[in-house]
This record gives sequence, structure tokens and C-alpha cells, in this order.
Amino acid sequence: MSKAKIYWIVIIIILLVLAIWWWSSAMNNSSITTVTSTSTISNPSSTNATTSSYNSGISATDTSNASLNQDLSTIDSQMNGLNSDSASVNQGLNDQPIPQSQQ
Amino acid sequence: MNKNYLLRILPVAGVLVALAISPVYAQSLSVTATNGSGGVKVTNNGSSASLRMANAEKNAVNRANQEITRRLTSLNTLSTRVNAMVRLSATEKTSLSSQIQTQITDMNTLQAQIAADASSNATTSLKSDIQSITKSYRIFALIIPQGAIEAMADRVQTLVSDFDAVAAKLQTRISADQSAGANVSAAVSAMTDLNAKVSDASAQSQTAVSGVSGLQPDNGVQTVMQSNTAALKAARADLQTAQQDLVAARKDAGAIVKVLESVRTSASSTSTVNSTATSSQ
Repeated sequence: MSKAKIYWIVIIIILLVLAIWWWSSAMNNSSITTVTSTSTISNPSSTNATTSSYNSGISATDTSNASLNQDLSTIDSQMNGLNSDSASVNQGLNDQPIPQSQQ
Repeated sequence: MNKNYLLRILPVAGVLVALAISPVYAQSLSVTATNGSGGVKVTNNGSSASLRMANAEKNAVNRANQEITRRLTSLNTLSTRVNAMVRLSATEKTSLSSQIQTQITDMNTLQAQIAADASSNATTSLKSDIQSITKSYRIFALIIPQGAIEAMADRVQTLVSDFDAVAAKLQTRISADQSAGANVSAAVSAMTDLNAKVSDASAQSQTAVSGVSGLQPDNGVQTVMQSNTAALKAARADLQTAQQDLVAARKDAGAIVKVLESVRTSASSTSTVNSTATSSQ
């Protein structure tokens, strides 16, 4: 085999190596860089219990029928909230994670 | 040029080829992903193996993001609910809020780290970060039901307070009607039941909070996990009993109001009749 032929074979091999390296790099980058973090969830601003959304505001003095019926409506509203809370408790206890790869 | 020279050149070329392909081998051996139908093992099979490996990695990152986002949504919902609680002690609220906030911060950090790993092809770090999602689930799985239980207990205590206020007013009316000679025995009976139910609901909710407020993440210890689960389920049962008590108390209150309304209507009719009879004489 002539010296020139050997040089050509080496050059072809080197080009082949470079081509494989370039291809594998390009493939990985194009597949992965499209995955980005999109979640921007705000943090709670306060832990103070100053909200009055669960203060029912039942009058302590008005004993009229109208006032009593209004009080029962207020209680019904809270009872609906209690149903929602109960559902949240069940959901929390029955939660299942999305499986992640382990290896 | 001779044969010996060729024999020296070809091994060098072979090493270069091997070096070029080695990253593909390394990555395909280090990443395994699963999908809904079972495991998908990435194997070395030339160009298709590299493509499958990249897809598996992308799927793993997507699943990780889905799980992190799911947890962040739950944690933020719980945080909002905790901030609205009005009956639990400030210490319990602060402790719960702090745990939730820590989890939110950790999840945001982890999500950013996974995105960075993916964009830089840091497969080892990516694998480690994704595994940490599963490990951290133990904390999440405790905080969410624990917080929900404390929130529900808070609501029960709010309702207990409401019922106490209404019961006092109902008792005032019952006593007034009794003094006027009206028959309100049905209201008295319902009132006794209402007070008993409200009292029991309060006790049940306090028991529920006591049962879960001191729970700690199991950190992978099976016995702790089992005791935590048992405590959470017991607290849920207590709160379900409290809820049933309050439903019964609401029925009692409605029955009492009906009795009182009928007494007042009857008294009004009697008064009208008497007034009419007097004026016609």
C-alpha cells in the first residue's frame, strides 16, 4: 500500500470522527434545550391570621325571626365550606405522585 | 510506506473513533426512563439509540416538571387556606406556614436546577435531581393532609362559635316563650341535642389537631410512615364525626326556629283576635 493511500485513509477516518462528534452534539442540544421551566408561582405574602373571611358576624342581640334565619344562612355558608375542607382532606390523604424515573 | 507503518496508524484512528462514540455510550447507559405502559430502556444502537436516549431524558424532565408544578399548586392552595384560618393558635399557624413555604422554595429551586441540568446535558446531576423529587414526596405527602386537617378543624371551631352565638339567642327566645306560657317543649329538646352536638364537634376537632400537629416527615422510615398515616386517618375520622355533629346541630337549630316562629305567629293571631273581640264589645 502506498504512503499516499494511507494518508487518505487517516484523513477520512479523522473526518468521520469529527462528523460523528458533531452529529451527537447537535442531537443532544436540539432535544434538551426545548425543555424549560415555566412555573412562576408566587409565594404567600403573609402568615398573619388577620383575614375575616371566616368570621361569621352573627349578631349577639337581635333575636327576631329574621335575624335567626339570617344566622342560619350564615351557618349554611360555613357548612358548605366545611364540605370543601373535607374534600381537601380526602384528596390530601389519597394523593398519588406522578412516577419519576428511578435509575 | 510499509505494512508496519499501517499497523501503527490504524490503532490510533480506531481510538479516535471510539472516543467520538463514547459519550453516546455513556449517556445511553446512565439514563433509563419509564412511561405509562412500563419501562423504556435506552440501549446503544447507533444513531437511533442516541435519539431514544434524548427523548427519554426529555420525557423524564417533563414528568419532573409536571410533578413539581402539581405540588406547587397544592402547596399554594394550602398556603392560601392556612392564611385564612382564624381559630387555630398562632404557633400552629406559623409552624404550618413555615413548612409550606420551605417546600415551595425547595420545589422552585429544584425546578430551576432540573431545567439547568437539561440545558447543559448534565445527565448525572439531572438523574440525581429527578430522584430527589421522589424522596421529597415523603414531606409533601405529610404536609398537605396535615394542613388540610388543621384547616378543616379551624372551620369546625368557627362553626362551633357560630352555633354558640345562635344557641344563646335561641335560648333567650325559648325562655321568653316559656315565661309567656307557650308550649316550646320540642324546642327545648332540640336545644339540648344542639348543645351536645356542638360540644362534641368542638372536642373532636381539638382531638384531630392534637393528633397531627406534632407529626414529622418519615425520612424513609417505614414505621414512622405507618404511624403518620394512622394519625392522619384518625384525625380525618374525628373531623368526619365533627362534621356529622354539626349537620345534626344545624337540623336542630332549624327545628327550634320553626317552633319559635309558630309560637310567635300563634301569639300574634291570639292578640289580634282578642283585640278584635274587645273593640266589638
